[in-house]
Amino acid sequence: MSRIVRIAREAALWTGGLLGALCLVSLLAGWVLHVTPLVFASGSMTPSYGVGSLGIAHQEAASDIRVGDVVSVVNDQGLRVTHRVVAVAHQGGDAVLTLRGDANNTPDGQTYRVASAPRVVLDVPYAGYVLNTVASPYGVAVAAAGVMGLLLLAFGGSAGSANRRRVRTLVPVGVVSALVVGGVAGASGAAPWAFTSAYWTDSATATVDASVAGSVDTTPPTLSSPTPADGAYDTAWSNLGCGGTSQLCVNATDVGSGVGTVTVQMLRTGTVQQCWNGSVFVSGTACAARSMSVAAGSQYASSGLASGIMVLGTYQANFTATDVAGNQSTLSVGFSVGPVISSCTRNTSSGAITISWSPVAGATSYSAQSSSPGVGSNANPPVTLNVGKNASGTVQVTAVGPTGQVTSAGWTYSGGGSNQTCHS
Amino acid sequence: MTETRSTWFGRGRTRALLSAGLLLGAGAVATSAYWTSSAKVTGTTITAGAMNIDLANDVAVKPETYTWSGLNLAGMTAGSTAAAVLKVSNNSTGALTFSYRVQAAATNASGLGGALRLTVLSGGTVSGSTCTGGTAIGSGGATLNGFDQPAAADLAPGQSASLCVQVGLPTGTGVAAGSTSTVTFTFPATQVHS
Repeated sequence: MSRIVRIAREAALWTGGLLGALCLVSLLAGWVLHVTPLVFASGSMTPSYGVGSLGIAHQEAASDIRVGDVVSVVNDQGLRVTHRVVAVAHQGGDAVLTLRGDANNTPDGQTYRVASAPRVVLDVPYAGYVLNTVASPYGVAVAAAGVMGLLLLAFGGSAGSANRRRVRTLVPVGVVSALVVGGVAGASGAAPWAFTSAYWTDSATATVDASVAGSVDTTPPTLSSPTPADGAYDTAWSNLGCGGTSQLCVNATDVGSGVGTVTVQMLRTGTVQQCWNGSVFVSGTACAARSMSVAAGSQYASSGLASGIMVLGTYQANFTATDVAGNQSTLSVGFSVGPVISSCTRNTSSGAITISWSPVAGATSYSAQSSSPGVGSNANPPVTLNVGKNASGTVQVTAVGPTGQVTSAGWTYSGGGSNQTCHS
Repeated sequence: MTETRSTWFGRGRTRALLSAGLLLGAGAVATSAYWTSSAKVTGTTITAGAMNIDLANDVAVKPETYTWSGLNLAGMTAGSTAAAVLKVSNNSTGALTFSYRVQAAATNASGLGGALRLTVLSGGTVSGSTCTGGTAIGSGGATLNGFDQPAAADLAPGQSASLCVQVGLPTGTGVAAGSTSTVTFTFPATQVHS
């Protein structure tokens, strides 16, 4: 035998032996160490794992799977998918995984519930192409022919011997047997092996701006004719309020989108800081605005106000109107419930003035006061103040109660000689 | 010569027997692709390339965002509709077929987005301000906001589908004049294995 032939024979035997041993070792490793080779059949994990990469995956329990791991699962269609974990939720002993291919801009359409999954620990680029080629019918035929040649080379013996005839029968049988055993192992799922369709996803988005005909309403609503009017003052709420049940009223109109909502917030001001919560007055100013409803035409009225709570005091009502387009306007009015002097007479000989007023709900005491000379009295009406003859000035009544104190408008007294007067 | 030959002979047999392992492995690999838990057989082909779903302007960008001027939804009134055709293409490199869904959403600050109604006809054509013909994706006149339906057919590489999209504001809708909304159509695609 020539040297070249011997070297060629040796090289062929070594190559075949090593490749065969590698196959046997990987099969054994798969069974013993729970290692699965995976071929990446598409590019959705590029660039981490390119098309045709051979990944080596190790079976991991659900509790060991972390975000960022690349795991292989089977989807609803029965396809094996190998993608990166972007979210994991543990439920009992299982993990519910959300996966996304590195090259995909959207996560997979489904989540995967697994008790354990193979996690890719390393990969060999392009090795998957080699394996895929070997596993093709053409590849299998070439491998079978090659192996048959090697066996004949090794076991062939000398020409014409009985041994050689036996080998010529046994070798093809052995080759076919090896293929069948491997095929059965693969087809039954016993071979630790998988193609993985690391499938692609993509999405496209189209946007359109929609609008409703008509110009945009930027004009806020108009608030007018509040009741009570700003600065209103009376001895009783029933004379101040609006409508049969004495509520707060305001007119609201809007050009464009129309009036949406009208609200009012009412505060007690002055010495007592309170606000109306819809039924009673409570401390502070944090009461929410109360909605108003249409009373008639463009007039909006509050509801729930009663004379029993609208007692002595100074008040502020803040009206807010909002149109359908969201523009807002506000209007504030101040008004008071307090004493009103009903009569004032003057004694022409002594000059003393006698004033009278109606009682005010919520008042616990009154004080009548003249300006010049300053004479006061805390008595209930009627009250006589001795200001003396020829004096002139103003006289006022202040009512005091737990809800505040309010001073009436002044009446004027003046005169000389027998012409002593007191008038509003 | 005889001695040398017998030495090679002995060692060669072991290697030759080991090489049979290659057949075992090749056989296993060749058939394992056909073993799946479901009936669907897949995965025997390695497909290079990248998948792209594209809209009218055919840019293979991931993800594509397209400002669709073809559908004019400006100045809608109650009872009005607008329709236009949007081409959805498979511009993948490589043999990548995909299935896709049609999703729609609209911003609803002024109530306009929630009032819009949508009809999508795959292969339909525009007739005036409405769509006719083709295959309906989902039900006609569905609420646009939250629309999410599978498209009628998969698209193979190079294929495209013409979707006729009709958007309307129903009569009796109380939406303020000048209200605006941004309508977004999303087409998520997933590779399918045939």
